[in-house]
Amino acid sequence: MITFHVQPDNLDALQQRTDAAINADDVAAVGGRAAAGFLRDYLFNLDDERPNAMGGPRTHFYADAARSVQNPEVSGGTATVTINHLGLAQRLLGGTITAGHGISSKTGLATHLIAVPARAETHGKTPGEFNDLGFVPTRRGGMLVQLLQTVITRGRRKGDFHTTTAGGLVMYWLTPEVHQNADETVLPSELALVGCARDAMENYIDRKLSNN
Amino acid sequence: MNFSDSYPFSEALKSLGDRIVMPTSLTSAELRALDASIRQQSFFSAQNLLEDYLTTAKDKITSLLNPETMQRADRVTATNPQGNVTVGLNDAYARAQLRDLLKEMGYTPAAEDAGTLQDFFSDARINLVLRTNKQLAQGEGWWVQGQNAAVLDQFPAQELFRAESRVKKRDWLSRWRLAGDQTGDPIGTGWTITPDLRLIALKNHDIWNWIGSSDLFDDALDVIWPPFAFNSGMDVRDVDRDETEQLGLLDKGEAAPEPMNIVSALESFTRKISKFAEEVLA
Repeated sequence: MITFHVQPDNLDALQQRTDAAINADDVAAVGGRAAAGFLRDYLFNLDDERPNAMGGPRTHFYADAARSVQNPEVSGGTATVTINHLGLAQRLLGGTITAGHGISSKTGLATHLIAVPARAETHGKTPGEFNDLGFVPTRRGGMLVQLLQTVITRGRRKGDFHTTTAGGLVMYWLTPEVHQNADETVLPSELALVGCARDAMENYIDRKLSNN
Repeated sequence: MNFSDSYPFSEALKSLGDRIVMPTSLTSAELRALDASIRQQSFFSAQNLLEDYLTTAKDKITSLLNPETMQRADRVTATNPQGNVTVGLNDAYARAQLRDLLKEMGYTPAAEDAGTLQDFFSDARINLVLRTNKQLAQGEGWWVQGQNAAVLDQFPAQELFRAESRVKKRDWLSRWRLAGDQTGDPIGTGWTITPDLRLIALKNHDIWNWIGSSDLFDDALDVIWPPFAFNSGMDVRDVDRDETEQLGLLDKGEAAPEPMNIVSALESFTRKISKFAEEVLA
């Protein structure tokens, strides 16, 4: 989970302009909502710009992250914005994912190897969702290969048969660990986020002061 | 920015938690004939009588909505000195676990349904259940969090926009016009279409009661928040006061929409839909 705090108290110029007539929680709520909306837009745009690298059906990872943005609470003049999403922090921070922490969808036991999709049709799916995969060991781990299937079809003439063999494709690479580089572009900069919140809060304060 | 604070998306979790599992043999069309308030308070899937399956699906969606952060020594890096890692369920594992449950229950689809949306095993059906319910909960959560007087004052309107690409896109511009017509307000009064075809309306305007109404659209979910219709890919974004005033949806300095609570919003929605149905059926 990724959390930001939006706090007018941290923004000196705003603090000085906020008089008793304006509720600090209201100002923070406006800033929090502005920041949350900015984050959502940023992530929805990423979803548009970054389809699955291998092609295939979209999982809409970033749109899913966008919908996970929320501004849950305002108290003591601080608004909080969080992204309640699995996977976004990993892309942001990077790091090495090692097997042994999860449960295999195939065996129900602790994982020994991590399955990395090798083809578009496996993107966003677990090996357990396929029932025609065979394990082939390799020096660095292994691979899950689609089992060969031979289909015999009858021709038009008597005694005329055709055989077609399908499968044999590598569907997943299996490896004890996967390293992912940090990608700070999966989120806007904190400067941009704070700037957006500040603009909204200034605008709100200006209007309230001019009304009073 | 930090990664250790834990703030569950409470409004989304409450939205899902409040809905009661309703096994039903009704088809989608028959479900639409039910009172909207029953649909809003129920967790169901058309022609699905498997209560254990629906209960488990609801639990899985709760987990999808609520990932947690923990610290692990093996995840410490220069960019992540505390070793924070987000743990929880993802869509793929939720799908696999639901499929395993169906196997345990001895479910088999009818031969003519295999692989179609009617097949509970199919990716399409499980994804529909998981994603629709997750997005409905998130949509309601975002709506509830926005019902704050200061937020409505600063962001009095919202835009309906395409958030996810689709191969076959439904005509939301026509839907918007049709929904707007139902409000009785002429275009430019509370709702509008900008010259570059953006669909914008005041928050809490009547148009939001119609854009997701199954009385107008067969695929609608009878809600006043995204995704409005099955697999729509649509969402909303806030529009600030300056732009709202420029568009003529509010006069300069005019009061913003009043905050609504969820109960009165849904009651209002149900009243409108019921009245419309009576008039159409009379």
